[in-house]
Amino acid sequence: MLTAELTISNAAGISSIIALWMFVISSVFSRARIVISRLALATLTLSFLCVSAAIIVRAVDAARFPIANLYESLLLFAWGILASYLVLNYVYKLPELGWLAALTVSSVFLCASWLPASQHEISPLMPALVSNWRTIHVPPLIVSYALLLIAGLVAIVHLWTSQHRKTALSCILVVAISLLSFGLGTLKNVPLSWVQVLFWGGTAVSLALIGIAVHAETSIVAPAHPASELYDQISQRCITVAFPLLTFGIITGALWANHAWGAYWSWDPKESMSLVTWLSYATYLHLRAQKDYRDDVMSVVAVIGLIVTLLTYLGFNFLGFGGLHSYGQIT
Amino acid sequence: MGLHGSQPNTLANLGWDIMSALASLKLTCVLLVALALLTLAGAWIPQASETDQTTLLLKFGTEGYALLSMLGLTDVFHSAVFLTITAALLVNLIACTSVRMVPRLTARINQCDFLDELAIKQLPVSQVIKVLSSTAELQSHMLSTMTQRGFKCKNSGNSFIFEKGRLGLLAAPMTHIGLLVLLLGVCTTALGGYRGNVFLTPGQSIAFPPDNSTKPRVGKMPAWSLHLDSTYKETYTSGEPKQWYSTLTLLDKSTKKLAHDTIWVNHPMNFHGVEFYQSDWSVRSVRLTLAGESQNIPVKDMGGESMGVLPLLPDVLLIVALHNPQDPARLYLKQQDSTMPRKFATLASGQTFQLGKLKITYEGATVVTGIQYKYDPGLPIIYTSFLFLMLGAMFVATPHLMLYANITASTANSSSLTLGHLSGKFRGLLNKEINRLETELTRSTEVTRC
Repeated sequence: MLTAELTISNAAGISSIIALWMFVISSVFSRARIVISRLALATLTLSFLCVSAAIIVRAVDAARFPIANLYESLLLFAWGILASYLVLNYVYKLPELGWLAALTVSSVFLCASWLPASQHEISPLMPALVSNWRTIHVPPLIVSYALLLIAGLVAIVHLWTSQHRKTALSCILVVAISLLSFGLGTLKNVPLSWVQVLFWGGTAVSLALIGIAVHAETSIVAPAHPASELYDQISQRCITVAFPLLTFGIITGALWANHAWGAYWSWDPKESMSLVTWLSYATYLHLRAQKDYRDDVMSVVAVIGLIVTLLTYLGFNFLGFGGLHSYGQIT
Repeated sequence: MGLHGSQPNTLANLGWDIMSALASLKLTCVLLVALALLTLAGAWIPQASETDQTTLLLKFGTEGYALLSMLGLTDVFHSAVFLTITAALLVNLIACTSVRMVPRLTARINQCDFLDELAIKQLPVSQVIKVLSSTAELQSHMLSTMTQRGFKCKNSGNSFIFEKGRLGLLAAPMTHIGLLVLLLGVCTTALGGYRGNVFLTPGQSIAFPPDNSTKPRVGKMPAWSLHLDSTYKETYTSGEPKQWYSTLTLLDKSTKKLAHDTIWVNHPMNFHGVEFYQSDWSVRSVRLTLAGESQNIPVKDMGGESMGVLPLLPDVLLIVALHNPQDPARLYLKQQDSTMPRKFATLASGQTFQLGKLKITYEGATVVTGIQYKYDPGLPIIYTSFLFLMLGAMFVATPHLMLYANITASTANSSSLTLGHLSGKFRGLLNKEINRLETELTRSTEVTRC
């Protein structure tokens, strides 16, 4: 059964990579663009079906909902990204953003496949995780992380298409530094202190660059790119849908903690980080409520939210945070 | 007279100015960011409540630790800065709710703010559509289109308000109420609640709750006693712990049984609002009889094994190891000059081994279970706040769309439709609705966009 699940999840990963290449090819061959991008979308849908099947097979094999370690949560994360993109594509008709979804999801599959073999095995649950609350608390959070990731990435695309190129490049730099830090954090021969210096230092420098770029590009009036405003709208819609899911996840986490440990809030690092994420997006929504908000600033806030989300979800395990949620760490 | 007459008015104006300044959305954003940054620091830097000073010194060095302590970053969530920002956010939240939200919500619910053509043109987003049809025809087309799009329409003469997603209006008030109720719940917990941990061995009773709290509180503490009947660990076939169980009996002063239940992680016992949680479980010691003398050897968990050491001779150590308390104990001897201990016996409880002239009997292991108790009178209030917060967050996903429209007759056969909105939050969606309306009107009439 485990072999079947691995085969299906590998098929999901491979089809997402094929979809990525097809989206890239569709942008090169303008004549066959529509046909190729439709094929790419079909391949991405196949990837979604495969990852759904992999989750179901693993659930049957483990006789529980498969959310107990990083590998299982990454499978659900990939499912969330694919489901979100397919829904967004259905509503907004966005084949031009297919490459972004395919790139993101194939990176998630690669990350999952690089995890140690112990992560791929079905391991018994530790006592604190033996609860139905696990099924209620974790999936909404993972799906909200997927939506927030898409929101942040689409915000970068919005910056790029609205001619805020310097700001977009600075945002790409901050995302790249975060991902590089998390990647280095998985390597045993790289000291954790170096990884932390890279993450915090790199993020601080990138944020300063973003600030300078936003200031320098204040006067830019975006030329009429047909989809630019739509990207801003999509980023916002993703956040407004993810925010209730995030809130639900945090609240059910508090209810579970009270049920298991007798305290609904312990200022555990993961709890604190989820609060930081919630506060970041609360700031986004408050900024958005102001009548004179600027699209580019909103996109930058969405990207900062993306960094915070990644830090809460992945960085927590790779940058040496401790606490009650450390079962997500790679051992 | 003038002075007496103007003083209260000036004071009222000053009060209003202060409230308006405190209700600033920009201030909210600044405070939210500050709180997020401090929480981030608290998540990254191990906090004094969860670690010891040595760990912090090892991680940050003497100077780094001194600097962090000076800045209050080793106990962020109890620091003056954190509490001040939280309090400021609370004041901002109250001011924002009363000064901005309530009047706006009332106006929106009453829908008394119909706008004329000129007023709509002054909105942040406005558009004029010229139509070659009479005002009556235009009104009819517009109403049917907007109704099909799910909008509710109200009008006063030629001024219209189209609205949908009214639940979205409740997002911010619900969330704000949720946060205020949460604060009330936390205060109730702080005033009337208590919590703590007790450690019990099987057969042991303890006066409950132990009177060791110096914190002032409201309400009487019960006078009960807690008895541990039995406790055990369940393991997977791989040897990893699956669950810890403790059977507890709660007794009153006259030893009358009040409650009796077996608890485990995720399954607490509740009696009159006091809850008992399985919070810890370990083997505390192993009992051996050596040459007729009883010995209690403390053990420590080392890689899933409980291990204890007893010096037998100046250069010989007796090591006892066991995986589970009910398992046989493995006995080893280790000489000072040897690197590896040598196993010499495996004894089940009650079994004896003759080591030369020394008779060793394994009497069994003593386990200790950690029980956390808690009385939280604020919990129902906190759960109510969670409901409000959840509803508030759900309504965030429901966009409240409101369009203002005004129809004016240009000539006998042409009219102009002025449309506008003031939403920053859902600007894209509203612009889309305006474009859709324009497209629909194009189909049925001749349109000129301005």
